[in-house]
Amino acid sequence: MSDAIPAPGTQKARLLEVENLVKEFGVRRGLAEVVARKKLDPHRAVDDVSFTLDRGEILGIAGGSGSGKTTMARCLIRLIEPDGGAIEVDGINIRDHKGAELRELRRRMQMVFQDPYASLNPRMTVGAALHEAGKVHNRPGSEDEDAFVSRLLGLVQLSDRLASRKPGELSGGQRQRVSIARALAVDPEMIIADEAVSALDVSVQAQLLNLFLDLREEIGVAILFISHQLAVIAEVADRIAVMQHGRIVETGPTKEVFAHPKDEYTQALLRAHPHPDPRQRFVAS
Amino acid sequence: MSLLEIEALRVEFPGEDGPLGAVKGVDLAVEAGEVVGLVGESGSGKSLTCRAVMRMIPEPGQIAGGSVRFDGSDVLGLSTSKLRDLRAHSIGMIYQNPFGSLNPTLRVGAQIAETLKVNRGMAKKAAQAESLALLERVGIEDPEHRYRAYPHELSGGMCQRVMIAIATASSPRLMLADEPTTALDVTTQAQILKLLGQMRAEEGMAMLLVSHDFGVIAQACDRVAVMYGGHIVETGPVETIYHEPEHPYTKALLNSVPELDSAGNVQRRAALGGHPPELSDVIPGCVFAPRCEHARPGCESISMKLEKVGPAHDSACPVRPYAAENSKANTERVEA
Amino acid sequence: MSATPATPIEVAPAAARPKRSVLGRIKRWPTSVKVGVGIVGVLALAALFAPLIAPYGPNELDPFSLLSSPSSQHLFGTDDTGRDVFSRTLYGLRLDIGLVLLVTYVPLPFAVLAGALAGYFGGWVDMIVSRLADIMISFPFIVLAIAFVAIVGPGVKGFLIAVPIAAWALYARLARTEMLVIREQPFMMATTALGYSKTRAIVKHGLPNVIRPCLVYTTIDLVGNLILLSGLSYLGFGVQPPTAELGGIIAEGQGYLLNAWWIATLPGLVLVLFGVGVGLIGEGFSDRGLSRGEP
Repeated sequence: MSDAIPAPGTQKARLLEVENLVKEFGVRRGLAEVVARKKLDPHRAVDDVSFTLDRGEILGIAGGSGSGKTTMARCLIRLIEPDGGAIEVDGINIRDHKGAELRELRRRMQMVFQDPYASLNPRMTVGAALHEAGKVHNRPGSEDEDAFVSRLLGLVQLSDRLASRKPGELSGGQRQRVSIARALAVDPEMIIADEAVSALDVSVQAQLLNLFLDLREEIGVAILFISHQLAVIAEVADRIAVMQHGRIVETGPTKEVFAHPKDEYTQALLRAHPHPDPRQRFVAS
Repeated sequence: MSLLEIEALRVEFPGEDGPLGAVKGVDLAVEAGEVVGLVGESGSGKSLTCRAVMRMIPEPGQIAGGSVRFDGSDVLGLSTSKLRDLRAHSIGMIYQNPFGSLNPTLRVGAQIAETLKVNRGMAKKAAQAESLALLERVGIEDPEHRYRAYPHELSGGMCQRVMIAIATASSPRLMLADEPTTALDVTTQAQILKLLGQMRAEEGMAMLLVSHDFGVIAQACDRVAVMYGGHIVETGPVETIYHEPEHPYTKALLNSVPELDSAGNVQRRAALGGHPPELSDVIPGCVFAPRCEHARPGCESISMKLEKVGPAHDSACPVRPYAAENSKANTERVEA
Repeated sequence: MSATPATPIEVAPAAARPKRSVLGRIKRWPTSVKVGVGIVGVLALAALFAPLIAPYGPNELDPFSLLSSPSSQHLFGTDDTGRDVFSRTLYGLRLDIGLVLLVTYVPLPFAVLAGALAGYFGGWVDMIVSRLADIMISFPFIVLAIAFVAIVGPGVKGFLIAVPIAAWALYARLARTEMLVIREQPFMMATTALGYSKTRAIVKHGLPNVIRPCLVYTTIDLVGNLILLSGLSYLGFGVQPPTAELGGIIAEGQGYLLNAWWIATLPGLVLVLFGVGVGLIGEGFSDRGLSRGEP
């Protein structure tokens, strides 16, 4: 592991601390309900969520649709404004800041999205997009565009030749790598991968999972890995938090949670998992 | 005679410099009562192969060659009315998007009843009663209430059950399922797979199940056909494919599949480099050769013909790099 | 940050579409577009070089050939004062194309920007822009144009003012809708995550993607404006005689349709041809999805 990562559990190791995070969406009331003056409780997409992420750690967030995991991820960088709770990066609450300080905090927590086809500006070449990220944040090395872009492409195992291409000329896996490179261009300490491999073919997915592991080892970046697929989380995550209906129902080291799930929902998820092995069937054939 | 026989099927799309082959000569058979899984990545042609059976290739693609025979009779040459008959009574289809496949402006009960009235000629009252029975059979609770619901009022899983109800209303002998659980939560997916297994056991229905998910295929299928770049590269019983694959692509793909057991032992998987070919890529000989670690000189001139490599087990790879270890494992298993 | 680079998996990225030369890209255009470009190209060049090509001046009189039919001397014949119709057509086309390009493309950036801002910010910005646009669109356009001409006086000024005032609303709306869609795309969300300023997000990332459908629409608009200008001139509200302008020429030739059909018909055909050419280009591009930015 990289020397940059302090020992787990120590105070210096703590990168992100989320406490009692809440996001509510107002429920739209039908005419009949307005007339009857019914008071409807707003829907809590994120309901009192707390967790931590250490430097260099990979935390998996598992859950189905409606679990609130994507909403929660967007709240962390305030793409969506949370309604309650604290989000502390190295002790600094991102909710308290705006302007330049907010930008700086955001720089440290970059996001990679699910859809490789919509995550890159179709009109910009790969090199221009990567360089722009470095330039905007005045990253060291960004004065030399070619070297800067080359280094980033190397980090995500892509050839320099792709720098002059536009996203339309790349495959899904290549685009995701470029999205990761763009996130890395600003030297983040943490990457939020929101279903980042879910839209990829299995063989390409395996490459990208290896890439995440490589990045954690080479540059010590922490990863918040959100996925609805337990097996994918099993491949990369040190720890896992399982979400259901906006709450975290169970958390712990991945191996432990999978071997001895305590929560009913976790157990149901594990029972329903279709093992890619015909010798372990749950359907009577 | 198999229930479904596909021979040398070719599906093409118009391209700038000539037609592009999406399905390039596929041979596949499904026996009565059997569940055959068609697995592959994007561009493999699996979805198009499935749709070709009912001649439902989306424009501007078209079937460019080969034959499809259902119960002995040719499907590709059927008249429109006979084709409609086939679709109505003999073959059913369920799709990936549960909401998109139901009419959002009609109540679900009405949609099931419509099939019954049109395809089974039932009278209104009888159709209604049968619809309720069907809803119950596909495991929807409180069917009287749900009968009157609109699709958007139901969950994805329930809509999928409704779709299954509609598709099985005429007791088809073959069900085509194109990624039927991809859009569903894992718990719902398990329920739907169980339901399909149940219906198959009760009705003796055969199924062609298309999926990119190796877990789903392993859970539900008797036999598996692996597709890559428009060709079938390997077919065999599900256990054989998963545990003694012959084709390098099958083996590499299986190695890439994430497993729960990896939790805690973060071993790197030896990932396959590159990515599946695009429609416009022209690859001479074996379509997988550019990415194959066992490729030999000569691989660029082989045809993608399936050759027998074991009982009911065919592979398109003449190199057979795993033949030795597979026969060893086989012998050990037989002796055990 | 010391990184030990892993061996690149993607050294030779397979299946990337080969970069084509400009000539190759042009060859791939659909036939209708090529025909359209051909027509427009020829006419535009003829119009541009009118002073060099036209055998006579636009108001040059040939008193010995009044109302003479098309001949080798006068390709389109002459009118009642002996002016060469072909030369007048060329000069008229020149004026028309120039004015129409001006009136279509000059207001475009402002309209697109207004619409893009409305789409990006929503709120009161959107409210103001959208309401203004709604008002403009609901106005019957010809009435507006004529009203302006009545205020400003005859001549091109009325046209040059009226058209942008009405047309901006359409472009603003188009741009707004595009921006609403693009705003939800992950690459726009990434600009926030990456800490880019809103200005950068809108100008560098939003606008280039928003403007494409607007540009496609300008081809329809061009033709519409051309017809409008000719129509206004025909009615006597636009370009005033004796300046050569296609609509004006047609108006003058109207009275002679029976005995000197060439005065009205031939310039009219040129007008139609130009419109068809532009229309083919616009239709061809939007059919192929080029308005969405695919190669």
